[in-house]
Amino acid sequence: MRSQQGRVYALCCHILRDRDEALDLAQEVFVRVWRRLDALEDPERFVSWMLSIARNAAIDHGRRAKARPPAQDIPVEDMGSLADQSGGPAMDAERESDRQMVHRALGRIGEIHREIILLHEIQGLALEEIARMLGLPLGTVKSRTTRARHELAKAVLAEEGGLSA
Amino acid sequence: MSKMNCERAVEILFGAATPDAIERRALDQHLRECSDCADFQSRLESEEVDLLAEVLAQTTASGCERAADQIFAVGGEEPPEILGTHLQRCEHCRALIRARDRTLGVLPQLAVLDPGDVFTARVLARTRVESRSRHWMEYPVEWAYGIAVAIALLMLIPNSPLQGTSQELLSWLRGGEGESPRGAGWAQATVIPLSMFPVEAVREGTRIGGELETETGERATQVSWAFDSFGGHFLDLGGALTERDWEELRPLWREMQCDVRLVWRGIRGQLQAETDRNC
Repeated sequence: MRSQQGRVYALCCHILRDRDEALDLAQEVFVRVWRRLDALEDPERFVSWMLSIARNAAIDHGRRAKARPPAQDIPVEDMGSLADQSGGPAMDAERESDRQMVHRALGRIGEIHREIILLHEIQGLALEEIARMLGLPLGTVKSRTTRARHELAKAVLAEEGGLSA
Repeated sequence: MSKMNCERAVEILFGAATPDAIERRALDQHLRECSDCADFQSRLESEEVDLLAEVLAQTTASGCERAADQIFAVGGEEPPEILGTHLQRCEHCRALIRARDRTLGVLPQLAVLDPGDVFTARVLARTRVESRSRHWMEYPVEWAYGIAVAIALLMLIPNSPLQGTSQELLSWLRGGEGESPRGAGWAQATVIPLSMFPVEAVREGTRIGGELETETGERATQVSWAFDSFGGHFLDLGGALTERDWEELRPLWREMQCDVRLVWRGIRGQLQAETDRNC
């Protein structure tokens, strides 16, 4: 569980963009995973299966929470990153700055594109897995990935104060 | 004579299509009406135009949009040669490529975030509570009744090895003299809750508690979690509860009170019955 909790929490954080809600939801996801373990047919697909449960739970949670006022977006440093810290303080500062900038840019793009970025670029799921998870043709997922990357790059430029998104 | 669109006009101007007399007249008409195509024709004739760039710009999407399809395509990290001309003169697309390269390197670093030390403990607490409930539910209540009846019968049947055990057990639990194999003192010292309440009362309370425990669904899980959270808070095991925790626990606290009240009501009822009988 410890090896996977960071992934589930990260996915919840990026979708909900609220640390406390993401913590609660990640707990709920693990309880659901534990309850449904018997339903897992292929153990090699555990990660994508678990992330699928997390994604569905986050979407449900987001729908329920829509009536509430929007949560204040959390700075990425408050989430507690476990990413590789090697490379010295200067490199750390640069990486941290890049992470924050990309996290903010993620908040600027649409939900559908953000979902693709989260699953493919961040969590590293194969496009075939994502197509199965979302119930979409592979071609649709590929074109959606292309548009999501484009939108994210424009958002990054906007964050940098360069060209407008 | 039908009107000509820009796409067809550009095809003819490039020499990619050969117009007949009617189409030639339509082109002339179009060039008189469309300043973009007229301008394009004049630049084409003066050889100032970049053919490849113009093809990209004049077809279905703008040059930048078509370039973006190539730049951000899955597996398209190396732009094909055909983009070279566009990229040379388009600062926007060059900036997008720089942003893409910078972003794709950072994204995997966001895959794992630390949820804190309390996380694992909370999840384990919840699954442990459910595991206990599941374990109980694996055995039908009928089995438990059957076993209880069998033991009771064994206690009543003459010459049975368990005959008379119930009286001895009751006496032992109440700290009766000389009946306990470990002595009355041990019973009084260690079985205080049982010696405080008559066995029937404890049994009734346990029965109600058991029914509550075997309740399925979210409510039982949430109440169990609430008990764990409060316990962890007051015993200083799970860290202080945040204001948000309190908000979430408040409705559950009412549920918990309700459970405790039910158990206590059962015990108190039996106590009253016991008192009435004694009087």
